[in-house]
Order: sequence, then structure tokens, then C-alpha cells
Amino acid sequence: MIATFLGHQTWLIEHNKTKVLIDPLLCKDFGLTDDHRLEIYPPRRVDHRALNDIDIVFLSHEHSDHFDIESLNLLPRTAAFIVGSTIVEPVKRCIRNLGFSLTEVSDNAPRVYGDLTLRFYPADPQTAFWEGRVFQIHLEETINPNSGIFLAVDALVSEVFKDDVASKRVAEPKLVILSNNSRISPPGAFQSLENWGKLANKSNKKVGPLGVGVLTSVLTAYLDDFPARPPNIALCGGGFIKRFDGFAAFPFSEQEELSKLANALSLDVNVVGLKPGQSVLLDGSDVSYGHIDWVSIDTAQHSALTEELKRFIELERTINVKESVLPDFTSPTDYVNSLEAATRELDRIAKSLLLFLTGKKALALDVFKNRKLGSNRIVFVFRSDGLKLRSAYSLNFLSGKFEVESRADEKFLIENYPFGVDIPLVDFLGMVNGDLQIWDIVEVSIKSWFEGGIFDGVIPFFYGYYGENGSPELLEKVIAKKMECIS
Amino acid sequence: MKITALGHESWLVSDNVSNILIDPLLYPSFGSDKKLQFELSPGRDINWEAMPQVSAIVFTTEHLQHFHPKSLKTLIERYSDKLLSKTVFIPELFPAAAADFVEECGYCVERVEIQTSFHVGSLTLRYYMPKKGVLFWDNRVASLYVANEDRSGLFQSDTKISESFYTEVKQGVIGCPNVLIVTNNFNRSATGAIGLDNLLPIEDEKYSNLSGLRLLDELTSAPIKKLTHVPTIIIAGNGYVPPRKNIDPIWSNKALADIATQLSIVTKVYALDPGEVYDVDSSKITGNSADWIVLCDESYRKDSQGCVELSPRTTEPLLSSEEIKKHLDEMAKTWLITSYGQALMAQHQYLGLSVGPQRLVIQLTSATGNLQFVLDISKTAFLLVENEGVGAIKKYPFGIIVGYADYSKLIEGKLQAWEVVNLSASQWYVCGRYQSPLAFWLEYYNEQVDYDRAYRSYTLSADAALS
Repeated sequence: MIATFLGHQTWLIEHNKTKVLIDPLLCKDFGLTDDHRLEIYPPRRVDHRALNDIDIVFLSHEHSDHFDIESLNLLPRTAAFIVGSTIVEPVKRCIRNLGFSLTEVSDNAPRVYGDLTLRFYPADPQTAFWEGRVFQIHLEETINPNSGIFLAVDALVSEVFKDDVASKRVAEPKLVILSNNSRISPPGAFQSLENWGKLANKSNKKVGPLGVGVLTSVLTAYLDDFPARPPNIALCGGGFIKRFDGFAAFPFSEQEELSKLANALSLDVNVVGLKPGQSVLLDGSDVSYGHIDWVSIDTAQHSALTEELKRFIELERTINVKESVLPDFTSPTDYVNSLEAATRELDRIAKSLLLFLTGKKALALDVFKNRKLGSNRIVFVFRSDGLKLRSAYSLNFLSGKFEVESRADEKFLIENYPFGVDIPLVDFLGMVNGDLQIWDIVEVSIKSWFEGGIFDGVIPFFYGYYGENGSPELLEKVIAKKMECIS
Repeated sequence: MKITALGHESWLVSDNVSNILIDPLLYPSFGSDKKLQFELSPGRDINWEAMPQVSAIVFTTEHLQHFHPKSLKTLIERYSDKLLSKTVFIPELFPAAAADFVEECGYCVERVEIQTSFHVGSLTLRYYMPKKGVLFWDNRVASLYVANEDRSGLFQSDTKISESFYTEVKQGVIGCPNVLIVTNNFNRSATGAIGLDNLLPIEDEKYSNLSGLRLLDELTSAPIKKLTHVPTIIIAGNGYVPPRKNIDPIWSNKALADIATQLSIVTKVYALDPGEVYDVDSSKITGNSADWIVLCDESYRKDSQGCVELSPRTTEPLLSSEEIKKHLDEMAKTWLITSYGQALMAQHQYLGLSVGPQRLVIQLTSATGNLQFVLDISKTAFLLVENEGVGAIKKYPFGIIVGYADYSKLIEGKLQAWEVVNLSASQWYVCGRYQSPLAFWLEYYNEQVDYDRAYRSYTLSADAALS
């Protein structure tokens, strides 16, 4: 079996005459909203014509770094398209509208497609809820199987798969493909779940051997209760950049370098880190490497980006939170009118927020900064930097409703509220109305702060409520726009 | 100090100087709907004229078995001479809907910080928030510590006793209580499966492995182990019968107390009938019951059942299927982004077959025809489909069956979720009891997160109750 890495989390797995393409990102960038497409890293070009004979396309889930309509549109419609049954309806419809014939799978029964036999597994239920719809795939040779590959990206390893391996229903895989989504932000920068109440972008916690933690979490902790020790683990993921003011590539996203360092620390497991276009060939316990000629890395751009990151860190540069992603309001009247719509939306989401992790964690908190907490514990700040306007609303846990908070300055709010989010009003409404996705504004124009773990804040609530899980109708709107452009 | 049982978890605590009412429920029944009342059991009448004057009312929770709008209203409107003060104490996270109702009745609400002593005459009181990790609908219920110069007691109320209570006892911040009034809310469906019980024939941990022993251990020996001295234990709770008589407590408090006493060295474990008075000073039930609390015999209860209409009520307008779908679609978002949604998302097989994205069904039943909605997790929306009747249980891994009229009333704030769950809602599920569909409803319609519905039900409840 041959596994070829095409960038980020896209893989082509083939054996003899059968080819399976997984989570295809084939353009230089991806994204469902044209204005906010993200570049693949390392930058590379894929000649999609080489994929004209693929047999199967498998989509693990609906997030835009896996589901890219422009890429799908480049593929032959003769390929059978497979998704897990939990994938959201607008995505299924889109795939059908593109002309593919779609198969939904919901069990782990082996399915034979020519020379490859595939099995599909739902993500472990403990997976972060916004990845809860992920399906994982196991592939092995149909005749004389001896080199199983399991792809476990973006979610915890399926417990059903672990059961299958433990009970020998499936042979121990020779290669497990995992995702390194650490996206560690360097000093001076910030990431999507950054805690502005604790670290902020000037924190000294952003230095030190953080890569050790990245490797540990991906290569060991993640596979802790895996019933077999896979002889080969391949790293992928983290393969895209957002164009920030000053740097783009994140540290520890060079999988090839990381794998070399990991192998230096390993006495048994072989860690595979490939550049786009490189392949790993498995034949029983034999492993060899190769490459294909229809994927080429833009080496000049790649080194410019790594150099840029190096300079950013050396010169101790910083990046600022962007004023807004959508064009900001230009008149106070527009701002005020929009604020009314935003407060109506707050009324709508109050209950859901109280019942979400954020609300429950905030309720369980008695003391904050050595002071007894009052009844208002979560605050939203809407802002227009251009107009120099800020408006704050806090959630009262006694009435279950949002109220006006008269002070909206950041320092006061971080000091007095354990949970908060500071978001451009125009971006908030853009997210609410489906003009952009939450993924387009995190790491760019939002700040949030929270107590507890990174999944406890308001941004994970946005992921849930406005993401594909809570609001597939918003995704549908975004997809419809994209489909119009394509046709 | 003396503790008088008023029924269920209502109490009068008195010493020679002061009387306080805890969670007063002074009518024979409670509930939001006049025709669907939960009757106290054993039944009893309160002679309001003969009731002693009280210095304050103290609430531990807004749950409707404790917070009874009609009792509050009657007291202040018709028997204000019984109120030496109009002060009502509530714990700090008591939901605003209930607090606002109390104020609008004319009382003066004092919201008290937890673990901070407050005083009523000669009595000192102190609230404790529940143990961390308690079920969502019990997480704002406070336990109440009451002490005078010599003696003290803890009223557990409907939640788990906080670790901070035990810590304060150990540290000597408060005296070790002489009496612990613990709560037994253990019950099961009397027929079929109602409430959180499972219609599927799957073993439920709640009822397996010597459940009565585990219950008694939790009520008696577990708290004692954490205290510096052994208090007397009084078992309370489960003191009502739902209108449709579909809940079975299995063990009465008296039966549990009797078994516990047989398993006890020196001390006794008690359960009090309404009117019985426990004297904390002598650690005994006094011979004289309170004369203003009159126990009713069984024939009284039998007669009063005539007030309860058991058949489905079709005279009131039901919400249309469109209105219900709109409501359910909004609910679907919250369902799917909480752990309840994860339970649905993780269920890919059912009865040996693969399940598609439609995994949960809600059937609304009525004499004139049933409605069926299914939740499609790939759409985060409910679909109105043809009613599949009992066949649905074989097809979908999760489901709720509920009276159409009851559910309409729940949506309109005319019944609370807890009532509907005990009236006509049953369910099936292939997950833990507390991840089940009705457990989600108990959160979603909870008083804490739904001011308007809660307030509406309090207002209606003020006019309900049997008299």
C-alpha cells in the first residue's frame, strides 16, 4: 500500500489499481467564503489531472479544512463519494449537487472496493464536541492484507476501532496517521483559543521547549489506550496559514523536522513526517519512501515563510488583533441599529449559553480573583474600533438574561468577569447571519478570556452554536453562495 | 430547639424565642395546574388560625415541592398576623423569577451569601451550596444549617451535601449538627416507565445491586462518617403523590428509618409524619404533635382524588404542529452542542442495525391523534413525520412519548418540566439515565435558565392547589 501526502490532511492511499482520496484540498488555498480563503502550508501546487482515475473520495467531516468545494469540483464524478452518516445535510446536498453519487456509512462493516477494503469508524464520543461528527477510516489490502492504515485525524481514536483491534476483528494497523493541530503561537502572537485574561500575547509562557509537549500529546498521550503499538505513526495537519501582519507559519508545523526529532527519541516507533508529494510505501513490516511528480513545493515561498517566522521571533515583533474582518461601520447610526439586532440575538442565545460548558463552569465558580462572584459572570463586548465605540452586555445568572454593563473597558471587564468575549459588532452579526463563519474571525478579530480549560470559554460556544453542529442552516447559506460562484 | 414536620420537606423550627418556616407548603397539594395537583402524602390539613406566628420564611430552593406560591400569597394576604416580619431569606443563586414573585407578593427578600451566618431572633442560619458536580437542576439548591445557643441541625434539601459543610464542621467554624434532616427522593415508575426510567428492558444501575442498601448508606452512614459527632438522622422527602399516581417510592421513610434503627447502635433514625415534633434538646419525638396540623385518613385522600382529572384534556387549545416544530428546532441547537447531543452523535448502531442521522423521536399523544417529530442530527432540526406508534421504539435509539396537552402547556409555561416528567412523559434511551432525552428537558426548561416560563408557572400555581 502506498500513502501519499498531498498537504494539510489530504492523503491518497492506493494499492495496485485502487485509489482512495481522503479530505481533498487540491488548490493552493481553501475555504468556503471567497474573501477568507486560507493558504496551504507548506505552499505547493497539485496537478489534479493525476487524480482523474481515483475510485473513492472519502470526507471525514465538514470543516472547511477538509471539505473544500473548489477542490471537489476538480475531481472526476465517476469516483464513489463516501461520508459518515453524521455529516451535516448541507454538505451531503452539496456533494450530490456537484454530481457525485454519495454513500453514507454508519457502521464498521468491511466494504470491498477493488484492491482495497475499507472500514469506517465514528469518532470517540469524548472528542471535542465541534469535531463530534468526524468519521475515521481504516484501509487494508483486499487480498493478503498485511499493511493496514488507520487515519485518525481531528478526533480521538474511535473506541469502536480500538475494540475491533483488541478483539482481533481487525489486524493491528502498520501505520496510524494522526494530526498535529497544535498551532502554537509564538511570543507576540495569539491563537484562536488564546486566554487574554491570563497569557495575552506578551506572556512569557510562550517560550521554552513547547514542541516537546506537542510531540508528547500527539505521539504518546493520544495513543495511550490504543490496544497495539503501531510500528509507524505519520504526522499531518496544521498545514495552513492565516496571513497575519508580520508572520504566517506557526512554529512546530514542519512535520518532516518534527518527525526527525521524534525518531531521535524513539527506540521502536518510526515517526513519519512527509512533505507534500512524498509517499510512504508499506509492505508488511517493510517501509520505504518515494515521491510523486504531480505535486511540487514552492520552495522559495516556503523558505520565505520560515524565515519570516524566525525574524518575527528574533525581533520580538507583535501582531495586533484586527479591527474587524468584515468592513466596519462608518456611521454611529448604523452601529446603534446593529446593536439592537445584536441584543436580540443575545436574548436568543442566553439559555443555550447557560446550558453549555461555559455557563456551567461559570455557575460552579464561587470565587474569582479572591473575590466572591456576583450574579453576572459572562460578558460580551461589541466594538467598532473605527468609530471608537464599545458596548458591553453581561449575563445575569439569576434571571438568565443579558443586561447592559455600563463599563466596557477591557481592563475592567477582564478584572471583573471570569468569562468574556470582545468582538467587532460587524463580525458578530456577520457570524449570526452566515455572511462569514466563526472560523474566519477567530485568531483574527476576537479576543476572549476564561477560567478553566480552553474548551470552557465563549469561543467554543460560538463553535458549537454558530458552527456546523448548532447551525447547519448558516453553513447552507455559505455553501449556496460558493456553489453560485462555481456554476 | 424543636423541629415540626409540616409534610414532605416543609418545616417549622422553633426555640423558646423564635419560629421560622422552612420551604412552607401549607396547602394539601402543589403544582402549576389546578387539575393536576401533586397531593401531600400522608395527607394533612393546616389550621391556619392556630398556626404559631413566625419571624421569617426561609427557602432552600425554587423547586415547586418547596417553593409554593399559593401558600406565600395566602399567608401575606389573609394571615399577615402570623408574620412577625415579612422577611423571606433566599440563598444567593436563587433564580430571579422566584425571587421576583416573592417580592411582588409584598415580602421583603433577603438574598444571603452562602457560608455566611444570618440571624432570626435567637436562631443563627447558614446556607451551603451543593457538592460540586451535582445534577444541573439541583445545583442551586442550598442546604440550610440552623442553630441556637445549644443545638443545631442541617436540612439537606434536594441536593447533595456540600464538602464545604463538612470542612466547616471539622474546622469548628460551626458546631457539629445534633440532627441531620436528610432527603430521600428515591422512587421508580409504578406502572410502565415514567420520567427518567427507561422503556427499554435494559438494567438500570439505579435499581440494581442492593439499591435500597445503597440508598440507606447514602442517607445515613455516609454523612455520619464525615462528621465529628454522630447526629440523629431524620429521613424526609418523597412526601407527595403525583396526580396520576404513577410513581412508586418503593420504601417509605418510616420503613427505611426502621431498618436503619435496627442496624444502629444506641441512636435511632427517624421519619416524621406531618404534625410530629422532634425535640433536638432531648433527641426524641415529643409525645404531643402540633395541633394545627391535622393528619387526614386515607378516606380523605380517596375523596380528594375526585379533583384530579386523569384523562387527556382536549378542551384546551393545543399548540399547532408548526408552533411545536419552531420551538423544537430552536431547542435542537442547544441539544446538539451539549453532552446530551454527544450521546446522540455517538450512537451509530441500534438493535444490531446501523442508524442514520435520525436518532431521536418525540411523540405527542392525544385522544384525537398523535404527532411524531424526529430529530435529524445532520440538519439540527426536527421533522414532522407520520406517527409510527410503538414501532418507533424499535427504529430510533432515543425517544420521548408525552401527552400533547401536557407538552403544549410546558411550552406555554403552564406546567413545569418536572411536572410533565412526572405526569405523562416517558422515554427510551441507550445511554446513561442522566444523559437521556428527558434529563435534557429538565435542564432546558429549568427555572434557572427560563425566567419567563418559570414566572408564568409561579403565577398560575398561586391560584392552584386543593383547599
